[in-house]
Amino acid sequence: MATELLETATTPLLEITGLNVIYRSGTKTFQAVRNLDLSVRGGEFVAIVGQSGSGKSTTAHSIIDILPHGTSRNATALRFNGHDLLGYSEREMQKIRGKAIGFVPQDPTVSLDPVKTIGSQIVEALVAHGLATGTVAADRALSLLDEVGIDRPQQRFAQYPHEISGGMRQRVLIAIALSCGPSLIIADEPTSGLDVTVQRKVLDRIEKLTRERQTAVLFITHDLGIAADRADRIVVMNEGRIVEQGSALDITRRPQENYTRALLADIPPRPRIGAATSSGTLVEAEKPLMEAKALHKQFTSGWFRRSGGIKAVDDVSFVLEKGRTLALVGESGSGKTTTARILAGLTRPTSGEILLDGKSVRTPSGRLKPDYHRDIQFVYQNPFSSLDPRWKIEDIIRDPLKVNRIGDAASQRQRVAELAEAVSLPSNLLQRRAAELSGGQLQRVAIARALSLRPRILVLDEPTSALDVTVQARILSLLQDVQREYGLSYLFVTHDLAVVNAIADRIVVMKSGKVVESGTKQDVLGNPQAAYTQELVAAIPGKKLQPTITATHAATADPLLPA
Amino acid sequence: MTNITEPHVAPADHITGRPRPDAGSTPFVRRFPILQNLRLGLAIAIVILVVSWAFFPSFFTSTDPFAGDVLTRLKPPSASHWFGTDNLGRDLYARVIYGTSLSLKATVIALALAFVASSIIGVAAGYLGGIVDEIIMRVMDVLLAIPNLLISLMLISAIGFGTINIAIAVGIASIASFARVMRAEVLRVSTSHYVEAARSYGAGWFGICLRHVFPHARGPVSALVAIEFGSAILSISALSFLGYGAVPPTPEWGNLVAEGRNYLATAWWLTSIPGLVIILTVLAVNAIGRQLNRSPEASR
Repeated sequence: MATELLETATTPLLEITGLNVIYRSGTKTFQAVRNLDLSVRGGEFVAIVGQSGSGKSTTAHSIIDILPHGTSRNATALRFNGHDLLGYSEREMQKIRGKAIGFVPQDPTVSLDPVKTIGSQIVEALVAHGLATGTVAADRALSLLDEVGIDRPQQRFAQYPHEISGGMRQRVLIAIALSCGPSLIIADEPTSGLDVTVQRKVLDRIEKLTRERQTAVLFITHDLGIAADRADRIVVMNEGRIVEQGSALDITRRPQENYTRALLADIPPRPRIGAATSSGTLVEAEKPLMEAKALHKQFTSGWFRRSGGIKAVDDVSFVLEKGRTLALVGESGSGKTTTARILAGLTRPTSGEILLDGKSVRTPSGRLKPDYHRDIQFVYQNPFSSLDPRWKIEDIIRDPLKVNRIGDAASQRQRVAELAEAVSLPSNLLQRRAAELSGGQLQRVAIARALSLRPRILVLDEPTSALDVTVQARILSLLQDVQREYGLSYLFVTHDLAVVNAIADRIVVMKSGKVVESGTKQDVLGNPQAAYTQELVAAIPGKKLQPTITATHAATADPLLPA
Repeated sequence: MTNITEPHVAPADHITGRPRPDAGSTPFVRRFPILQNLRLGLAIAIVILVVSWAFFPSFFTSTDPFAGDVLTRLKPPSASHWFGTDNLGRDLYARVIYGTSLSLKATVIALALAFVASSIIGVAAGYLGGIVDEIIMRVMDVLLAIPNLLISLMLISAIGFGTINIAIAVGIASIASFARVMRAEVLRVSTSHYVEAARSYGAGWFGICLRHVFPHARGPVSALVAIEFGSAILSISALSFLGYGAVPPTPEWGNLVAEGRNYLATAWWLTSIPGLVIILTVLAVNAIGRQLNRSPEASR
């Protein structure tokens, strides 16, 4: 590996010792980074791994001094390539940023200027650092677009950010970061918002280009799988401190600290291709609870409903069995969420039928049957937006009971307490509001609310994709407990095949609104037939983790952290 | 190591969930947080004072606002006449204080009318959408195209003179701008997932409006109320200045300014002091409104 080759480099490219960062808000202070030492050698790929709030992004931001106003940063030393960055003024830092240290921000949707073409934004970086002007800069930008893997660069050059996909935008940001030939690139979760296959392509590009140029990379991620696959060295952070650091192999195979072990254990295991093809555990056990028949959904827009429009769902049929989990898998734009919404009665299909217990859920006039929501409830992807921020948690969970006039005030309150217990939500949180709870706690609230009407089916739209891997593991096991206890059926929408592997019984793979493949989990993941499914399975990060996880998963001691 | 006072949640905007920048204060004020409290304290003190004037004028002055003394006419501010005297020798301080109740009453009526009407209109437009929204908002666009004062004048000529009528006219004239804000907020909230979730477990249209949409929309509209407070006072004053409102000698802030106008060259205090009172009141209400808009949590 590259590490061994670079062992000769005596002084590190980036050297941080004793870094402390303190955020201030009014009179409150919060120390995000505590006495952190970190070094990156030239050409080295270092990954900082940690959960949200571990201080990993803050560390990255403090290197190039882009912390929010009023934040205090101090360190014993912060040296980059012979420069003492601590003593640098804002003006001097501007010369370092972009030119010597490239930065790839987290969110590609907001990190590009929407009113400038992508080409001109790359040119701007070159011009700002006086590296090129005019046609030279334009040519350079074109070749960068080509290098980061954007097709038809000539044409893309003049396009605006909203005209290209998220993956492309992230590539443009990488092109900007690379444009001035920096010796270090800091990438702050550059792929966390992208689909797995796109994520893999973007990461491949970052890795290839930086290896070619001998550029060092400081890669911030919450995904230990990505870190294991790509990095030379992994730094594990928690609560502002470094828990453990070492070569990627050491960290994933021989973790020294409990925290690292817990992190590793919480990663859902990758499905193994070719394994257990004919286990046949799922004989058509139950009769279908719900059946979707030839669902179609066409979105039209504008005043004069033009013919055509987008076919979001195109002839989708499947069966949901009682007490089982059906996973609906696909990338963004595959129509999986629309299908789930149709099933939950939130979106009306253009055509097609949904049968519950063999009877249509809509009246002949096309209206949803009034008590449909008693049987099926929906859990959203983002718990922050699906709970009213002004309401107390207790009121949120209680509202479905109130609206449907189930029981009196006292019995409703008692039911809320039961539900909170069922989802392991501490009862002292019931009087709080959404902003005071963590993402995992909020998702528990959302699940409790969905359970309040005692439905038979829960439709879960990527319920863990906004959460850390540790929290995700807890929510998944909660969902399994709840399913067993109440005999619920789940329609689980996700793009993450590792999660599917952990929770699903049957799988429906969707692409561009159509069903590509469906069957039992063992068949689809163990022996994927469609090329698309194979691509999805191959794109799951954490290949190098595999042996470790199967080893540690047996003893899932998880003593850390509340969800 | 320092104590961690903030566990995992950074101060976040109650709506977006994103960390909220300390909006609305200058760097100078931000450096000294005490100033921010001082500013707010001052604003609240002014508003309390003005409201007390309106309710208990006799507590603040024993002078009769209508009693003139020809010997002391057009005297500048002094220890015996804090705000000076007018052309008939009446004490300006007493007149400002006794005028407060009428000015404030008119303003409150105007704003209450605008708030209630625009809430209904905005919620209807935003929540019903489609053709209802189109019709309502096009009417609002027409209203916005005509200057407020002109609309008020038209309405007054229809419903007659008097302070209350002025208030109604001013209120109706400012419905359009309120309704737009209300509609925008309703649109934002009603497309949110928690509203959809509420609908999906069977909550009705009216309940959702009352319990989700309106509480969220109320914040920005209340802030607008505070800002519109200023222009409502000015509009009402302008209309009484034009002679549609309070009939002299009844004091009212607007017509005090108007009366003083004739003596601007010789008696500056007749226009300046009531004008200053209006300005300070407007600024104080604005400061409070901005604070309310910034921290909806404070209403908990």
